[in-house]
Amino acid sequence: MTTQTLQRDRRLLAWRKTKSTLFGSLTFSTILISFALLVALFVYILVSARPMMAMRATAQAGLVLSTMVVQWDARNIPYVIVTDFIPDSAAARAGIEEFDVITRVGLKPVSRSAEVWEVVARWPHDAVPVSWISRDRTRIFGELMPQADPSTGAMRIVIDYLPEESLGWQAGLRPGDQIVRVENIPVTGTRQAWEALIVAAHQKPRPEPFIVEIERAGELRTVALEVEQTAQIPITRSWWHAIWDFLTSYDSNSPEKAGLASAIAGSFYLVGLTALFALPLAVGAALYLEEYASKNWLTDLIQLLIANLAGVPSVIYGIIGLEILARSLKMDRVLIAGALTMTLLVLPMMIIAAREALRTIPDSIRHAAYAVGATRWQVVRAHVLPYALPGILTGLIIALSRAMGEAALLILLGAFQYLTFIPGLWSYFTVIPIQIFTWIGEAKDGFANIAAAAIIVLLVILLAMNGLAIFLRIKFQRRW
Amino acid sequence: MERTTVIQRRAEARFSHDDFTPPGEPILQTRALSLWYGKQQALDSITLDIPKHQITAIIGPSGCGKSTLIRCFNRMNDLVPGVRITGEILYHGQNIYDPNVDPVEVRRRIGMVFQKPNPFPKSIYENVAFGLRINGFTGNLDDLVERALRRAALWDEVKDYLHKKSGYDLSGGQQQRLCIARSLAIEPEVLLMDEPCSALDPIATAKIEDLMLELKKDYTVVIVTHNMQQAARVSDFTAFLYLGRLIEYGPTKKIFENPDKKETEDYITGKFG
Repeated sequence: MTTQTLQRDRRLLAWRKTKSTLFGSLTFSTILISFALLVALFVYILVSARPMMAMRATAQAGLVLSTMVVQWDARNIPYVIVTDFIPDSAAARAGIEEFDVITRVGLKPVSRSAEVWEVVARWPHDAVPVSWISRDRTRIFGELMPQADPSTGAMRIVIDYLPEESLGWQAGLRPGDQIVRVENIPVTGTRQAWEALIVAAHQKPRPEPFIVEIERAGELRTVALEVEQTAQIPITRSWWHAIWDFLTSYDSNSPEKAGLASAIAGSFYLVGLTALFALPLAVGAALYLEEYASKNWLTDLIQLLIANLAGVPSVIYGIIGLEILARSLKMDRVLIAGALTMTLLVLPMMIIAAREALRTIPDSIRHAAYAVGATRWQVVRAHVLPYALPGILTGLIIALSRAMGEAALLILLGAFQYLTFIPGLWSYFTVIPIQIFTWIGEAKDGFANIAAAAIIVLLVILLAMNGLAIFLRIKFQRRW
Repeated sequence: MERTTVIQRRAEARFSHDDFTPPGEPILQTRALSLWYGKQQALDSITLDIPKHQITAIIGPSGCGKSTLIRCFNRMNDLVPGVRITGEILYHGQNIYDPNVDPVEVRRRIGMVFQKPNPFPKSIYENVAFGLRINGFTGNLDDLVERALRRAALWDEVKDYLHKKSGYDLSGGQQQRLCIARSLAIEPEVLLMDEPCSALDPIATAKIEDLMLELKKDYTVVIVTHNMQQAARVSDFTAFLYLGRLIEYGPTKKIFENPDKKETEDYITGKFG
């Protein structure tokens, strides 16, 4: 009888052990996998952020680029175009002008601006060879005119005007020549001649003359046209400069110029104001609940409500902020409305953290103070609060770092603005997570890269805040 | 049924101590003091007088209510949620549990030293000065702090780093003497000591005991102790508590050598406890 009971117990024990091993390994592997995923994501973001620096460096060198598309044979063929002319830049000195087409960077054919940045980011030297086709038509074909063939009546493309300094003249083209083919691509329209060059440049492994077939006085001729120009453009990749530039410039239409300044300022303003509003309320509430309130159904209820409020999704708070603060109270979607809404979100968390901190102060300290005739306020003021302060601050910082990373609430509140100024209390605003969200949604090449860079900035700020919290905890940790 | 036993026990308790009143002027007198933690009764109709300028020890096994009793003397039990007290404690003839009495005032006159040394995590100086500050002492704070530390026989050991060292940097015995200095700084009349030596080594204990005998001249000391030898060594009068009741109270010599009650004798001789 006894042995049987024992055996059953043993089996139960074995089962328990198996269960604990199972759950343990499950938990362990889950945590390990999530951590590995997180690290992998971080590395991926870091890699994506790298071209951001090259992007700003190329822009600095005068290459502000866009990807454009040629419709050709029912295909969309992308090419890289210089969208901004920066007069005193290295590119301008090399002869590159606005609307020139970049064909090769670092000897490699490029068709998207993102490829340019990738190549520049990896190029081992400071001077990057860049090839381009000058958009200036006079330098290649002069002016083309469609004309009807006097004998057949068919339409043909004829050079109407060609200055002597143009590339075409130098290659042997003359006004009156009809352009038949460019690199075996039949030319049937004025724009096509130019577009044919772009398409052809795309397919060439290295710069070499373009073969242009012309008809002059009824006979076909071939002209070799050197249209691509190449120069070594110094792109000084001073990473610190690129980072500083990114942190201090405002949002822009071109990713090379867009920066985080308004978002960083907005985030810090928002978090600072939130701290200002939430800290006294949270500390007051926690002090009341821990030190003053007697334990009864009311305080139990309050405790329950706080715990539940801490779990409410931030979107819900966003609706409260939008409807009550922005609309009913007519505050509009300004920074201060955002900070007040954020206060609602972090308050329960901060109260819970502050209560935990107050609870770590042993009663023996309170008793010691009471025993020398201190009133409750004196005990709190001189002992409980100062000793709990590091813990309270730690909780505060951790709650604020959540506020720093919060996007959903502020999107609802309309902090979704294209800002080119530093926001003030009563102005529209944006914050880093929302800026990331906006940039990721942009179609233009390069915005994804600066979004990655902004993610790194956000993570660094959060890491610094949490690091400060850990530092405070370790520095002021006290064993009672 | 329940009620009759309580009444019976109360009657017994009354009978048991009515035969002893310490000589001299009593400073604290409990009158039929009962205390409940929620529904659990911890003290049952305790009546005893604490004489002035004497050391009174309260002994008894764990859980007998001796700490609860000493905490009643300066209303520290008010801080425990769900506590209920009946009866009276007279301090110079005035009931400290009267609704008009401010417990803060009571604690200023009746100081307390706790079982575990509990200095504030501040400098030695601040530990002692805190009570002075909040009680609005005027005059030279430095002198008052020095006097309190001298009285607690700690001055010579700490005078060089009053502001540099935290109360937590001291040894256990020094911490406890610091706590005594802290209590003495505000010049109480009575010093309550709740097992002040239970966390200390014998050398530190000896120092505290010497100190108690010294303090007796100016203060009334009530000490709760788990250690019967300590009660025998230092106290003038001893009260034996058991299960929340006062079993026997009398001069220490008599309690230890010739107790009236069997429970007292069994406890003293180590048959239980």
